[in-house]
Amino acid sequence: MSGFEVRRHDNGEVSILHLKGFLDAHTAPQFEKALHELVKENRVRIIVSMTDLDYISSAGLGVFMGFIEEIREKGGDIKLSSMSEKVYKVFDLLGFPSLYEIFDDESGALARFNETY
Amino acid sequence: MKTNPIPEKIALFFVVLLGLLTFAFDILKFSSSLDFSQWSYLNEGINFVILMAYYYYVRHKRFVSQSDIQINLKNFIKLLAALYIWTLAWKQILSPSFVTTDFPKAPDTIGTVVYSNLITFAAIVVIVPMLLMVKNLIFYKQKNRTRIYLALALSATLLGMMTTVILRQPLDVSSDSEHIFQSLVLATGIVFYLILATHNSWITYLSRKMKYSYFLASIGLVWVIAMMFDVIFKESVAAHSLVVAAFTNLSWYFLFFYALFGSLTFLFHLPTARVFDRKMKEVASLHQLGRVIAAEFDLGKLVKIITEMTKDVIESKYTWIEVYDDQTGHLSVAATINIDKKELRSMDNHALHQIGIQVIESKKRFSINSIPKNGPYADIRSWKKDIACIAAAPLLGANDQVLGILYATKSVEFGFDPDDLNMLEAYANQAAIALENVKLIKNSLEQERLERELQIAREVQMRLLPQKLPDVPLKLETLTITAYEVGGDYYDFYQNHEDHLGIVIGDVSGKGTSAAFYMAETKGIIQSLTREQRNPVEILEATNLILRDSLERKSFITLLVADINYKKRQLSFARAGHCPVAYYSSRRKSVEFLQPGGIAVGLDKGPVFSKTLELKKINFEKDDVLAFFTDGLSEAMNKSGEEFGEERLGQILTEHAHEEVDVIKDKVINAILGFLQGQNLHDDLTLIIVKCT
Repeated sequence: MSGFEVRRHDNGEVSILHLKGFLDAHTAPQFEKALHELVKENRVRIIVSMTDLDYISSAGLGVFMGFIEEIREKGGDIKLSSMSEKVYKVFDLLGFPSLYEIFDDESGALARFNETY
Repeated sequence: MKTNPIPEKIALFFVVLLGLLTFAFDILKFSSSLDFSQWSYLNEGINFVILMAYYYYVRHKRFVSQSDIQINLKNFIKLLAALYIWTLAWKQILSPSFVTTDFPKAPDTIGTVVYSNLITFAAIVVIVPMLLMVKNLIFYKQKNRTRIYLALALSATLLGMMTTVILRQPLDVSSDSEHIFQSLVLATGIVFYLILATHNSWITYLSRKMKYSYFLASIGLVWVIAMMFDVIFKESVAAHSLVVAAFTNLSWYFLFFYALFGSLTFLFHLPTARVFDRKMKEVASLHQLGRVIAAEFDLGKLVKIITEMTKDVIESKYTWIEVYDDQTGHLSVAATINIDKKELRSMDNHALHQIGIQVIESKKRFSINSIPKNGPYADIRSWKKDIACIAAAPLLGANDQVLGILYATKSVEFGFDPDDLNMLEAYANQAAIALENVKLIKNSLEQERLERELQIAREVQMRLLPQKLPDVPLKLETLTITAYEVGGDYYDFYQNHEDHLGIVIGDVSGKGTSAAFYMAETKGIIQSLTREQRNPVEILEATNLILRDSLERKSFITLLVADINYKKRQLSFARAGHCPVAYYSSRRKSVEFLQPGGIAVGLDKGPVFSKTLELKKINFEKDDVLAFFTDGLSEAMNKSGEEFGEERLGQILTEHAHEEVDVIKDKVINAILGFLQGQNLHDDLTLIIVKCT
């Protein structure tokens, strides 16, 4: 069981969650908790930055799905950024690029939030 | 019990018969002037037989075989009283007198002859049972040598009886050289009697009240026994039989010493009687607690029992236990004595909280022996006036975490002595063990339940997979390896059209029983959809529509539906988020991974799903190989965290495509096992190999 960490960083109306390590069934609850807090505070403009994410399993992917509907209903979104090639492959296989906006880095995602809202 | 050759009734008969015989002998000796000295040995012999026969008769009788101390003592006193009454009565009636000659004194009147016989009879009848009762007391707590000492004492007694008859001297201690032998015999006997007199450990275990009352009674008893010989036996028994006289004399010494030592032992036990009682209570309570904890798994009952025990032994006034409630994260009152649970729960006493915090932080017991009227803990007194001292002990778990606190109060200052506080800690420890026990058992039952669930899920999964390969002009092989935690892989074949073989492969996200259930649902949906002529895209779109409502938000299913027209050598498939198809072309001698667009089932209500799902068509040739797999294969991880990957699979297919499908399968298995090097699969692995003919 490898380590996992979520770090939150607020930038105005947008909150950025930095994921680090291995996101699997064991560590998914941490990620869930972080998203849950944001939704509770009504901070629904979220960027998930995965520069330091080494691995993601279906459980980790499921976490996104668990919150996206509610967040979009509240007028927000989860945008994904900074994935490694390996992690991008996993997202791509499942078809996530058709459901989520994926950026090479955070600034791209931030810019997106600023222009649409 | 040994079986006696002579039944007791016969023994009793002999006692009576021989008794009368010796009585007759006495009368004869008295009334005639003949010299009966040569008959005297025979007379003594008969008396000895009477003694033995009586012992034989009485030894298994219930009233001498009691192990209960109080009953033994009561019976002993009854016999003693009876003896005195018997003697004094007959003394009054017969007024015996003896001629002052040497030992033994001769009776002066016929009435005295009768009297001596009656007293001798009484001596035998009473003393033998008394000795047996004392033997019971001695054997209350046997030591190694007890039997040996008893045997030695008995031997000394028999010796004394013999020497008295032979030497015709009384058993006295005298420095006279003539009487030296008797003195030695008596001294020897007394030594062993004294040793036996120290075997009175039954006294130790009596309660304090009994020790006090028995001590007082024993003072009187010692006097009564002391006087017994002079008052009752002295000349009377010797006049009838020397053997019985010696027996009586030596028995008297023994009984006297035993009673004396007993009385002294009572005296010495008095100062510690109260503490001893308390210690016995403590031991008994811990013993009981141990048993209760092993047997009782109801937390509520356990906590109540422990609180009660604490109050009983420590004699505290208010006693209660607070236990950590996992849900609230606070301590909550679990059981109380002498105080209302609600009152404690609702009360917000600052001082009590302080004490609780102190105990939690220090993880040690805490006590205030005298609560001052002013000062930090004063408001305990204002809450309840009769709390003069208070003690609290923590219940510590295996990892040194505080599971709860046991409180006790008393209404006198300095009411807790070190013993009380030690016992409080002991009970708190036991309570902690009990609490942890209950938790462990709950967890273990939970574990068992989960194991059963997984077992069922695995069985379901196995049954949902095809039991045999379809009969088509294609070479097919399948491989399924299930991970320990059921992963939700699924594959199936269908034939809804002539010359067509349909292949479905999928992977339900998540593990355990829910994955197995989704898989079963998916199988049902696909099987019914494939009955009609639909192409892979239609099948998947319909599946997504049906499943989107029953799948949890966090769950999704990757699926791939392939339709192979083996006559026309065409493959058309759609990929809903699933792994790509590995296609080896025998002409190009290379593998490519076909990954048309498509998102997994359950991620979207329908529009994006339909928009992204592509139908891919390829034409293949003879000896081409297709491999359908799940991510359990591509993501199989070795020790260094490296994944098996699609490339490796591609390599194996390229290398071995010319072989039979079962060989290709084996090569893949070997490669995977070799790669894993003993690591466990964390996801189910499925592989379908199709070689085109």
